[in-house]
Amino acid sequence: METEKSIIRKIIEYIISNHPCGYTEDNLPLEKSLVELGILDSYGVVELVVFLETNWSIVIDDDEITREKMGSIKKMAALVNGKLS
Amino acid sequence: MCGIAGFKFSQGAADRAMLEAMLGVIEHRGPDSFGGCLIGPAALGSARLKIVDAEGGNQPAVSRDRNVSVVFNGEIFNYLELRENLIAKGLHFDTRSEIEVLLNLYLLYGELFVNHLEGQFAIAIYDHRSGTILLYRDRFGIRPLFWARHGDMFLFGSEIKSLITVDGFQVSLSHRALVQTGLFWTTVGDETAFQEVKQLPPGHILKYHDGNVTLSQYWNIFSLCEVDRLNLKGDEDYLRAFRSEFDAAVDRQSMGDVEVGSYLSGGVDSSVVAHRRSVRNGPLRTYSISFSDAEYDESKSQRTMADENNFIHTSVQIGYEDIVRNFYNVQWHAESILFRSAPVPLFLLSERVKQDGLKVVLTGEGADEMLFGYDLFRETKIRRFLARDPQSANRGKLFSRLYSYLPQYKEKRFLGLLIDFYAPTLLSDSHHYPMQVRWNNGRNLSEIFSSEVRNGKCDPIADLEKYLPRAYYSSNDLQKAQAVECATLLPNYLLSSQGDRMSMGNSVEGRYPFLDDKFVKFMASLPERLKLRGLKDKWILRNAFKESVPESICFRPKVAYQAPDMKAFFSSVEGQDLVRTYLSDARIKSLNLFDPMMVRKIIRKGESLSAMPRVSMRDNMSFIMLLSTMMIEDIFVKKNHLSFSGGKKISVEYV
Repeated sequence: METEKSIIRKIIEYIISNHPCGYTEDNLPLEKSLVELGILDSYGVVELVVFLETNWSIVIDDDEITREKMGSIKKMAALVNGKLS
Repeated sequence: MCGIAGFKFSQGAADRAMLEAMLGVIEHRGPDSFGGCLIGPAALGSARLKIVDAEGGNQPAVSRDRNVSVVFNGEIFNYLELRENLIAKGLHFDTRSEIEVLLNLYLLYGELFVNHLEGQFAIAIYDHRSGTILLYRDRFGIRPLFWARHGDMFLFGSEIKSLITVDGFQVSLSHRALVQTGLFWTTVGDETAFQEVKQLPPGHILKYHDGNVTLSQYWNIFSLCEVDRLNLKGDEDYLRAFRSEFDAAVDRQSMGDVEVGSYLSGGVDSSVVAHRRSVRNGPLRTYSISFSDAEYDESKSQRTMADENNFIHTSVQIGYEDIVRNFYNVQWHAESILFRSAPVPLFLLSERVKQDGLKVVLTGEGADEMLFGYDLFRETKIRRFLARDPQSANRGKLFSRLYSYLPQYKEKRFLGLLIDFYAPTLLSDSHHYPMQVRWNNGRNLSEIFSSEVRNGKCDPIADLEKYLPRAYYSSNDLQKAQAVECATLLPNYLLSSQGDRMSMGNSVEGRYPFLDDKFVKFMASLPERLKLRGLKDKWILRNAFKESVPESICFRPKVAYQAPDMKAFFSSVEGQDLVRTYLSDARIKSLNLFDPMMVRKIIRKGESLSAMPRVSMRDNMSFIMLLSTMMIEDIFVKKNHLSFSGGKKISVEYV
């Protein structure tokens, strides 16, 4: 059973290995927007959505692709967790 | 069209061998003949590609009293008109060449003679009376010109490699250039990739006198604000005027004694250029790039245009391996930090043009800057519109009409994300409002630099501001975006790395009807609503020629010309070998320009590309910038290119 914590860990791993940035797995901010941190550009978010959908076999609805639902790693993990449970 | 080079010593007589080495290394720019003159401490030389007055136009031109000598690279489109005026004023001509017009103009008007010129040019003059060297560059920066000081010597040349042939002249990579390129995708102002070499910015004059260099600007894009506005009755009248002025520009730009071909990208700009040239001059040879990778290929539009107009059409197909195999040679010619591999296909295209025996091609470059064709202009309009009512549910939907070639803009589901993406700069009061989104993306790219480069005292925006005239700050969004494009991407990438350097690398000269001085003035006289009407870009161009160009081309949204970047290098053993050689950990660490950890991450991403549907622009840019920087370091700093070991022997005719 996947926990929100393990989802967070997997998202961090994905970000660090796929989006070259100055952060490491230990200091990547969990409650800030990855776009505003400069880690993702607009296409980076597209890649991230594809990653979330394929990795957890879920579908993210169009109106969920917003800053409100996906504006930080924690928010994304909650979104994924909500769909899994 | 030519390459030029020269120098001035502080004392002693100029040295032939030095001039010949400087010319030998740019033979590709002008393989037809070499000319030089040594006057006291100064030397001027030219490698000439014969296009206008093949027999009479030898360079340099030297005044009868040998006090003034001139070399130049380019075309002066109004030279016959100027010649007649000079004859009427009593000046004497031995030839029908452009170079003699330049000499006489200088003799008559002095330093500011450049204001009379219409064309694409880089000019060097040595005036022995005062011991002054004067350098001039055209308004948009179509033709290149570089200079440097070496001890108490002053050096100049069409290409940086000429300067590097000079004994003891050593260059190093400029941190400032790296930081600028991260943000603007090019350098700005007089900066080049090398700390010791400067470029003469477009529209500028350089004066070297008594060991001092002074720069002055004789033209900038805001000079066009002084052009009288055209005030016609209605759209039909404007469209008619546009057609007639454009035809005249195509005719002027086709000047010369040789056959003129045309590039055909598949977009509306080059299609209109090619169409008008063929209507006015009969059968036309056209040249296109097609890609094996469908993501980049536009051959369908190219073929439609060529078939409908009976062009004698040639398409050069580019695969990943072509990008990999030619990248090094392209860096040798480009001499700059590239952010895309897109120059490579253009180099291979001009190679094909040369094989057909052509020396001149028309292109559509400049239309997007002059007629507001870039998405940047429309993006700014939408941001302002949304900023008036940021909560509006509908206004933000307009973003989906931008960048039609990027999936995040095309797919409806990402709209919410896009609006969020634009939110942080929506209400900004920055002077550079139009550029903020792009520059924010660029800032993030700087993470690939080493802390030494990142924390250096470079402020690229301040660097750019030095070259923005006061009028910039009181201009509107469209004018600002246009001015920045004309100070960055147009001269320092599109007209150089994708333009002059790629075509002249194969002795082919590009011509640019949309940057024709008279036509530029005409376009400036048009109301803005005719260029960007609502969100319809290049409205007047598309509508003026909608009967001539198939609808599918005439009204299709802008597609940015790009070539495979990361994908090309990581999909073959040969490409991966290059990556291993140039981006090895040891090499990266020894130069200390990039963060080794970031480089490893980028390489890792490249190695896992096959699992990705598409590579992001940022990853592609980071990778190409890395490879490009490491390669030019090898070529020009370490001087590992073969041309630097043992100069090429050429035969120079001295006057």
